[in-house]
Amino acid sequence: MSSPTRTQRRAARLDDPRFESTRTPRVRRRLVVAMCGLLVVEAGLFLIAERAPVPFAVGMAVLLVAFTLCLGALKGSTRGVEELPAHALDERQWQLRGEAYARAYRIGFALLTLELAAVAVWLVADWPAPGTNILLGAILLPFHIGIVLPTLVTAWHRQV
Amino acid sequence: MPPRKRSEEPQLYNRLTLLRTERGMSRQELADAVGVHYQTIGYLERGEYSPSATLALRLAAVFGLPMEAVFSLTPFRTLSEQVYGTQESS
Repeated sequence: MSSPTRTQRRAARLDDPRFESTRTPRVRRRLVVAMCGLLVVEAGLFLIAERAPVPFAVGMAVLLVAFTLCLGALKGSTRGVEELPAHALDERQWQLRGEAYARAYRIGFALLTLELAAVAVWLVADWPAPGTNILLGAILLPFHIGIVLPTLVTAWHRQV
Repeated sequence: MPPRKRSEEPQLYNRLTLLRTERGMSRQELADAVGVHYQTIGYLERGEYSPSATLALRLAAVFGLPMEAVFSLTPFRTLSEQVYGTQESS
């Protein structure tokens, strides 16, 4: 018998029955809210980065650990439907993934449009140039949201 | 004819629960036999997911029955009605 591939091992890990307690809609939605909270805290940390670099660094380190744990729990709660390749999913999971990505695209598009609008308003109003911390946050936050958005949308779905 | 929206799809009825329990199979065993996740069998049995033609044919083949004996666009008659000709009281 051939040894399982990396994808098969990943699929088996994400389908682990030990994650069963996180797979109820209620717990999944709580995890989504927790992850959104972490993103808000991250945004807040970028605002204080220049004034308080040490609390910023400590806060980011704590946030990184919390972010990793929360994302791991979220992926276990969705059985990794949003990240596994097609051959590791059955037709219902594949359909669910398509729906989740379509919804994530719409949400992501709306968020990016909002960010673009904020930049446009900033330029038109001729406000002073933002600090490096704000610019860094404006680049990193959309990146982090982009990473977790499909997982958040999948976890929010009733029938995952 | 314009394509039909998913929300307008008619419900697909099935006898999966009856056939599976009749044969003493677990959801996991049936899922393994047709190559899907066991959770998908639950969604199929509750009518919350309509299978592709390929999956429907594979399920019917596991039970050794034609597809129309397992899936239907109209509700199946109950077992008591079929065997004894009695109507279910509402």
